[in-house]
Amino acid sequence: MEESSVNVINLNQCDEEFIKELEKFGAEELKECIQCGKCASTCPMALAGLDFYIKRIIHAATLGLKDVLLEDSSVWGCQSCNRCVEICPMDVKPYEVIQAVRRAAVRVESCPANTYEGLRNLYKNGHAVFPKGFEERRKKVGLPEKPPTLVSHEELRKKFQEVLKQTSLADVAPFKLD
Amino acid sequence: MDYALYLGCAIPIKALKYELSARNIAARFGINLIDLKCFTCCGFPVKSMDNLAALYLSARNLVIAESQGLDIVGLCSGCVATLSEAIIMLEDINLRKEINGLLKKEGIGQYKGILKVRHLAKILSKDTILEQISNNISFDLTNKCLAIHYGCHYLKPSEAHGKLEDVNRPTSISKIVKAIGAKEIDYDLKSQCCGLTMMSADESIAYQLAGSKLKDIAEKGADALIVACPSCCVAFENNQKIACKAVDTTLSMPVLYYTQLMGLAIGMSDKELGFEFNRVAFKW
Ligand code: SF4
Ligand code: SF4
Ligand code: SF4
Repeated sequence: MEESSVNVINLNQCDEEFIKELEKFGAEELKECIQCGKCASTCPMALAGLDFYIKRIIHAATLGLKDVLLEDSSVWGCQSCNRCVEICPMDVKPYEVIQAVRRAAVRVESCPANTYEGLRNLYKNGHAVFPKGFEERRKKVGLPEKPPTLVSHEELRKKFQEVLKQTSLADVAPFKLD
Repeated sequence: MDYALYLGCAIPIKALKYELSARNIAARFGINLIDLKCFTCCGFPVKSMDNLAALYLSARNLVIAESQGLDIVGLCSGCVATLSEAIIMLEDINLRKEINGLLKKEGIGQYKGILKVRHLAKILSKDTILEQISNNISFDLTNKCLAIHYGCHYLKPSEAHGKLEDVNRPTSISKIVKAIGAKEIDYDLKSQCCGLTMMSADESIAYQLAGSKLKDIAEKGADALIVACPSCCVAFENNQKIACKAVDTTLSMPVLYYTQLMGLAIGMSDKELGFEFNRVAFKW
């Protein structure tokens, strides 16, 4: 038979361990989903025509379709807008399922290339965005040259870095937090 | 009124006009925005890596303000939502213990859970302030039709925002528009997202979302779009040309922060409001 002309789900691919992993990463109410589709009715990704949209992502998650979920980039398009959380009648918190899939994906480096860039900046400066040379522009318009944040306090920053190293961000980062 | 000003990552770097106009308009209305020393990122960017680490980041910012006896005022809707969600998560005693353990290692105090986090727009839209605005109008905006983009995180998750306003029928920024004498226009796609985050999954969809919204407000006769979040501003202002192209149109739609709009109405200078950074010029 021709493959993939219809979306056939091969139940042999179900990975029970992966479901547990997702639950551990915050998709606690995953199994409550009744596939009613309300999340998709309000999700901007779905409305914009993304093929692998929230209801289908949840479906794949409930079936433990690990490869499908980790190989597709759709979860990275989520706006974190929480529309699905507001509307879900079963309190599945679909957005948390998206985050759980992402948490699994970053651990196998299956995420957009720039994902770790923010982490690098965060560790170094306390901020996820940190381009060079912005201080000049701030000064010019009369704002405090350096934002009055951890950036300006080296001693305190070191302590902060020590704590970050003790979180699991140290394991997630494909580079050494240093 | 004293508040700790929480800027987050994006504002001090990419949204100078918002920071400037916010600081200046707040000062005009006796809202004292205090800069505290060692704030960091709100934690949102690492939420997709590890929940606990993200919560630690939120909590350390909360503690810095709380230990000064201050509530936090934020400018970025994303940061405000993230910090507000953290407050709810930290109601869990075990989680709070764990986070306080990390905070102890950093040596910045313990989280008690007595502070509030608010978006500046929620404070500036209080009746007492709006009354002062209405009494001090020096620039006529009565012939202007304005579209508001509230944005997602300004309202959701509603639980985190203390259900301060109806997520489907928000009113705070509308009240500001009314107070300065302009007309708010209604439009079909009002509650649609700006689409910015979609860039990581599908750029063309991201541009279409922003473009369709811009097209909608232009068709309804809007003179400008009012925003309250730096990311939304990027989607509609920085990306305007290409977003419009994605929906087969060309527009030149001014995008203003609500703070700039308020300042304009009461006659503050272009410099105080950072208008030099507005990419779509407008002559009003
Ligand atoms: S996650 Fe909730 S809204 Fe979405 S299909 Fe499942 S039950 Fe319905
Ligand atoms: S939070 Fe993500 S999945 Fe949920 S509605 Fe918004 S974009 Fe869709
Ligand atoms: S409209 Fe875009 S940037 Fe604004 S709050 Fe929603 S997702 Fe965030």
